[in-house]
Parts: sequence; C-alpha cells; structure tokens
Amino acid sequence: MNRILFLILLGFLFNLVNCAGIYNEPVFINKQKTNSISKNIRLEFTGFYFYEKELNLLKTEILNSGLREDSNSPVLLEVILEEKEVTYKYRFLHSVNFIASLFTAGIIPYYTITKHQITYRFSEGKKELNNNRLELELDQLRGLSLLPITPFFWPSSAFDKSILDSWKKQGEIK
Amino acid sequence: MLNSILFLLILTFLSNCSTFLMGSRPVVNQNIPKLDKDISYELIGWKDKENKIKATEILKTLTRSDKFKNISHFVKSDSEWKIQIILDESPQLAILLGEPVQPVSWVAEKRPGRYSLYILSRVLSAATRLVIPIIQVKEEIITFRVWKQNVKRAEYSYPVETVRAIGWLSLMLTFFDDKKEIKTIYSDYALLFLNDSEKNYE
Repeated sequence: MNRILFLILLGFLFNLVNCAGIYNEPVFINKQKTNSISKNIRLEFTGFYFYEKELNLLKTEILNSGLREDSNSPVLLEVILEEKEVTYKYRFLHSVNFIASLFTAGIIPYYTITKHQITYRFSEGKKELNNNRLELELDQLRGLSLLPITPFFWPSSAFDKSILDSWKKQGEIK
Repeated sequence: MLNSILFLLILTFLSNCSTFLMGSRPVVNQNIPKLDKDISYELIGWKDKENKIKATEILKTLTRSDKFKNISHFVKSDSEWKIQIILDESPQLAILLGEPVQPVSWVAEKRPGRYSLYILSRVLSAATRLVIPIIQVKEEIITFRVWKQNVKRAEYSYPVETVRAIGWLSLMLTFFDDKKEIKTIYSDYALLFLNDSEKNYE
C-alpha cells in the first residue's frame, strides 16, 4: 500500500519545478524576401492569451527595432504564436526513458520536446507583403536530479530567448 | 513491481473520468438573418486531433446557419471578409509525467494559486488513496475576429472552463458528467458569435 502512495506522489514530483529548458536556435519553415515596408504599422498579436509576458517582451523588441505603432497605417503586422504537436524520432527510446524515470523516481530525468511556431505576416489591404514562419524548439528535462541546475536553465527564460531571436532572425533576411 | 504496474493501469483507466463544465451555457438565438456575402476563415491554434474535431464543429455550425453565401478557406478565397477562429489553451499539469506543450515552468510561474491548489489536491488524494480526487482545471479561450481586408472590425472572446476529477468518487460521478455537453458548447459559441457580430459586416 505504501508503494501506491509513493506512486501517486511520484507523478506530483515530476510536476514540481525541478526542470531544465535548453534553448535551440529558431529555424525557418517559410521564408520570404523582405520587401521595403513602411516603418509605421499596426500590430496584432494572436495566440498570446496565455503568454502575456512573452507578448510584452516581443512587443518591446519589435518597437525597438525601428518600427512604430500607428493605428492609421495601411500596413498590418500580425504576430501569430501556435503550439505544435511533437513527434519523437526515436519513439521507442522515448518510452524507455519514460519507464526509467518513473521507476527511479526521477533520478533519471525525463526528456520532452516543446514546439511552437511563430508567424510574422505583413499585409497591406488584401495583399500579403511578407510572410515569415519560424519553428521554436525547446528541449525540456524533468527529474529530481536536476534541481541544482534549475535556476540556470529555467524553461521560460529559454523560451523567451527563442521568441526574441525569431524576430531578429526574420529581420535579417535580405 | 506487478503491484505498481497494476496501479499505473488503474490510474490510466481513471484518468478519463468525470469532466465537468464550469459556468453556464450561453443563451443563443437560433434565428440568424442571412447576409449576401462570401466569407473566408482562418483557424489558429487548433493543433491536435481533439481540437480539430471542435474546430470542425464550429465551421459546421457557421455553414449550417446559412448566414453567409459561401464559406471557404482564406488562402483559396478572394473575399475581402475574413473570420479568424482562434483557440488559446491553458497549460495543464499531467497526472504522471505528461508531454507538456508549454515550457514546464509555466503553471508555477503564471498561476501560483492554481499550482498550490494542485499540490494540495495531490497530497490529499495520495493520503486518502484516491478517494479525494486529483483535480485538473483547463481554460480555453475561443476568439472570433472579423476582418475586412486587413482592418479588424470586431473581436469576441468566449471562455470554456472544464474541471477533470480523477479518483474513486469521480468514477461514480462519470455517469452524470458533462462530456456530452462539452461537445456541443463549441457550436453554441459559434451561434453566439453570429448573434453578437450581427452589425459588423457593413
């Protein structure tokens, strides 16, 4: 019976904040040559309802990069954030990992991937001027043994960094 | 070892139980005046299979209402009117390990209240051998935006909040839960949107 108690609590241990997030560089899925776009834009964020902090960070970054918000501008910039389903390349290893972490109570950490897709779409009237899409991938590890390094690999910070980098990267296209 | 495996199986079996809808259903007017316009749609955030079924439900409702002359995907359409249908989903804490779609630190960082509640319910259900259920809360925000070319004409957001309970007590409640109702709430909100957005297509 004690083992049952232990197992219920085990799932709970994995949802505590003993975790690490590892940053990956954003990757283009769709790239379009930048046309010269007016500096005044209207901004519209989509998919950020539960990512308020990220929205504010990204908005500051966009406005610092030389664009100005203007509610009368004909040009619209849409920033769309979407969560993506993940498929693992080595599914078998992933399940072995699952069982190993479960039965070592998280001493062997559990590895998962989190994927987001971010789209920067410029449009004027009905016409689309520009559409750049990037994939953000975050490697995440959870397990008791990670507790000492958690503060240095805080998953949200790694995620914030990849969001901000995606804007820089899409601005660099020539 | 065998015991633990058996227990994991039970937990998996229980984890599909008792889902309840929070709040009341919207009151909708089934009588929808027709509009002589073509319209296009764009779906954002309906990522997995479960969500795609919900999105289909919404599109079906929009089509069946006969509000618009024609509804098609925005890439294939040259209509100047567009409806964006957006789903924002709150992160959930898993029963066991789970495959989170957000950074795993999200709940602790952004909903500390819910996080503490979750921890409390975990400890209590462990102490009572799952008699007190483990509680999972899920928030969904469905947003409809009406665009004319690239000018936003209107935006309506509707929240759907569900609570899932996992434990012996909730197993008995599963016959009374809201699973069936949850399926139809999406088409209710699609109708509500048509009611609300009546004056936005001029």
